[in-house]
Amino acid sequence: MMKKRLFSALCAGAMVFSLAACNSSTPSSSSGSGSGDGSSSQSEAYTPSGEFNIRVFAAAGGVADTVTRIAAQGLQEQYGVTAIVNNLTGANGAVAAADMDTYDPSINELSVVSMSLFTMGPLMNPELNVSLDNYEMVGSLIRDEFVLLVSADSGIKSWDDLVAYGQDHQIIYGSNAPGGSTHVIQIALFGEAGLDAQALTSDGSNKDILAVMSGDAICTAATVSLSATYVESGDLIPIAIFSDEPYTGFEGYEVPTVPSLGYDITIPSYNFIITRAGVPANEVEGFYNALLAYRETDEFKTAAEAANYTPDNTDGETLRSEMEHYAQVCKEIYDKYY
Amino acid sequence: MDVILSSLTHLFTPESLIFLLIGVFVGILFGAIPGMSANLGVTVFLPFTFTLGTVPALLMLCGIFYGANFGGSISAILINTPGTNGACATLLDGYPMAQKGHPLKALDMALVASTFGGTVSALALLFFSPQISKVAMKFGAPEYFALALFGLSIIASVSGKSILKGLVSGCLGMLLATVGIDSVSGVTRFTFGNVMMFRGVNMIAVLLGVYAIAQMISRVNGTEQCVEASTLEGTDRKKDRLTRKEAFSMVPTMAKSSIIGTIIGAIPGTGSAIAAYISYNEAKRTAKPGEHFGEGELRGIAAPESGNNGATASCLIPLLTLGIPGDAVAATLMGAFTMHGLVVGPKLFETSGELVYAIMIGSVLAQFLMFLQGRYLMPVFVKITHIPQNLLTALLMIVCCAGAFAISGSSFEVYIMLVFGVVAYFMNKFGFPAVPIVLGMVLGPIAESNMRNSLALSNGSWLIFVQRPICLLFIILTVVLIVILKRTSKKTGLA
Amino acid sequence: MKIHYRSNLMAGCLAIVFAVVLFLIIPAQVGLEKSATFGITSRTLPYALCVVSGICGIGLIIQSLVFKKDEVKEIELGQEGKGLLYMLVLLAYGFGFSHSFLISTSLLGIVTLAFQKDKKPLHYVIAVAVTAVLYFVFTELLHVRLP
Repeated sequence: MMKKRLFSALCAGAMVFSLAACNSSTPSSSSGSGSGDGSSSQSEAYTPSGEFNIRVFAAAGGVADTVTRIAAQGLQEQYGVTAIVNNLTGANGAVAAADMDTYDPSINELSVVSMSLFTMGPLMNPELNVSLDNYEMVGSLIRDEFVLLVSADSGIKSWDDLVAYGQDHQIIYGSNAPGGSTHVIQIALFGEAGLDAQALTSDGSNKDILAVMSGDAICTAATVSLSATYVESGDLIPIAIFSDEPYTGFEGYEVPTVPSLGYDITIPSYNFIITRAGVPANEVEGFYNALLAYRETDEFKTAAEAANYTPDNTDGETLRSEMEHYAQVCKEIYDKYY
Repeated sequence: MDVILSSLTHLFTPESLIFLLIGVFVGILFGAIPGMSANLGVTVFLPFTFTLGTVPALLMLCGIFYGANFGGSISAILINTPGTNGACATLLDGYPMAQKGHPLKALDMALVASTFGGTVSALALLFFSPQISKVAMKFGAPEYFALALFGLSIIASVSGKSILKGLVSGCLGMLLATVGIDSVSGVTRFTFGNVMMFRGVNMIAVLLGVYAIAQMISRVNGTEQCVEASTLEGTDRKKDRLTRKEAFSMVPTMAKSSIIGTIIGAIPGTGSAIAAYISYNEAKRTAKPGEHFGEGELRGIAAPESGNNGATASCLIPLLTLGIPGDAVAATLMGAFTMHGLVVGPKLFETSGELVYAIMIGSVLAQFLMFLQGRYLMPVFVKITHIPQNLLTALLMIVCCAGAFAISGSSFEVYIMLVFGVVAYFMNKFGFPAVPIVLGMVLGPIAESNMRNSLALSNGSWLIFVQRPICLLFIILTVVLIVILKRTSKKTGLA
Repeated sequence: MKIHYRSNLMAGCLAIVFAVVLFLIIPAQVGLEKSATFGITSRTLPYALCVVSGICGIGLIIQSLVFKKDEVKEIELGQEGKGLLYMLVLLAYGFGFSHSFLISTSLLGIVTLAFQKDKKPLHYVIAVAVTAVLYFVFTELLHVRLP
């Protein structure tokens, strides 16, 4: 009996030791090395203290969460402090922003939100009372374009085929809830095309893709990065991209733009970092420059390649004007189709 | 075959095995502590894995997932508070058995059943992924609705003495699940102008409130007394273990429940809680004379534990083959796979076959490691029952409050937990059962959103629910279940 | 002082109250979508729950009054008063939690023990110590930020 207890204690001790050793060697340790890797001179004037708290609007495991964790890892290595990523889902980032608002303005309190927070969010849920003026745009994490996809089994190979299909059938398209990005672009597209379409809604693009692959939906819109594996495997066919430039990244396809088909709908998927208004401009800029500097490192490039992630380097000012532009675009779509 | 042999070289390295062991241990701990779920464990330990190789990192995270599903039964059995929502069904018989002085036997049964279920699930993942994923792809909105309806009909079975009260509890659970933004229409429901309500009411917070806080209030004011282990002086601890004969007698139940769990787990968007309840209900439905479910029946532990662990590895099937996570933890694991360079989806086996097979074979190994660790840890966990009740109550309050906050790093979940603790306390006074609340919260949104989507698919025709074979099957099963329950309730005089 | 009550009758009344309250708040709390609904809207399920709850409530009342199938339970006012007082403690804890986890949770542990008339000083020390350990584990090891 004593031997059993001793063995149990030894095993437990070995595990705890391993865990502690694991902890001390990980990037999130507060005693990390933090050697900056050629941080630009602008950030030298800014010395962060405390720890970063980054709220993410998406659930753990999603693209936004994954990319944020890569960025957090870089922050820890740049500044040698802890960067905590916290998933506060809901309302495209309104919940995350509301939580951030309970803290004093500080560059250490950040949120990663979706563009919808400032475009469709205020239209669908006015009670959210979200305004661009209350926040500083720090910088973009991801900008991805949406692709219109159909199943390889559907027999549809192009937009014209889909239109032809739509003459005799109601088009069932997979999308997120009304007001979400994929719902907005598809309701606008099919509306402009004069096609009878009905949304099959879900809480994630993965499920929309499943709906198309199973035949419940005839088409869906998903980001290029999410679609890639399904297009490469031959399960899905891209027939249009909601962008100004045609896409040639899928082998064997030159995906035409939606504007070239006659419909001016080019709303992208944008996930970016914000902080409260009132944070000094030099801190915002310094933080953003540190992010950019990390993106030049080999470590980041390896992690980004593994995650199939291409960072977007849009700065805060440009981001703000983009948000204002897309808010106007979404308002026009909302007034016409919602 | 070459790929499988190569995968063994990735699996059987000291690093892979040690971190798999650590992952399972951490998972058991996280599952056993109320409020700290498998998802939290995977999320918290994800950054730790960045410095590890791909296989050790993913094995560690998968180990946390598997271990936590067993760990949830520990708190369910010992303190009547499920550590995970998959363990809600386990406490129906696990806690009464512990109260009768057989906590070790109850834990033994949970461990054996979890290992059995997890092994079946892991073997299904290893050998039948492509076939199972094809079946999973046939599940569309009508099938999900029918499955959820079938699950909701189980409310009658777990309502205890009064089906009517169980239905009211189920209504409350379904109502709680409507809070937030409606996924079909985008409108807000019951947010009362509070932004935090936009994300809905977190189920773990409600679970902690309904089970733990309500119980603690009862203990504080003396309306509930729990039997302390020290009062069971006559119990021979050495005899309070599961015998081989008892374990073997449970094999048919565990086998059936494991298959149920494996199938349910492979369907995206379902999860271990549904598997646990359906398995429990099936075992109860086929109860032999002399078996009293709800009073400490061994089968009442074996069935849900095999079911909920049966849903673990199999929920990786749609993730690995289609890139579609089976439940919330699988969604987090998807991020982990991505960050370690494995792009889940149809091309995964083509591009990273060796690594994926190493993880799948490792999943089978993880079940045995969980069994070994569980055997050693159980006598330690049982010591919880020796803690004086006063102190245990205070400590549980503390742990639950910390656990509720840890759900999402927000005080809101703590408030939810406290509010529902008070609500559940008063509900107990009037005999409203707690289990249907959880069932309602899990299944209500699946039923509602998929019913509406089904009508969108069929342009408003209700015939869609009888035109699709799998959907029709579940509807028939639901009707059969309701008829059987009606007959049973007439015999026993329940209402 | 003890109060006796009929469980099914009271539960039935409670269910009906729940149904009525729900019915009244749905129009204010649940928006109406503008898109096609095929008869099912975002308010359909809440109203359905309202109806089911009301029917179950009436069923319970009928069980109690007509079929005489009921269980008489009793509550001890002193105990319930203590329970209500503890709920006020939880309310205060809710306010205090957002300011400091360490202090508020330690106090909660101490008060919980005091309510149970625990006379062992060691238990109070353990409660505070466990709070401190949890705080350390969450903030330093798991990097979960507590207030």
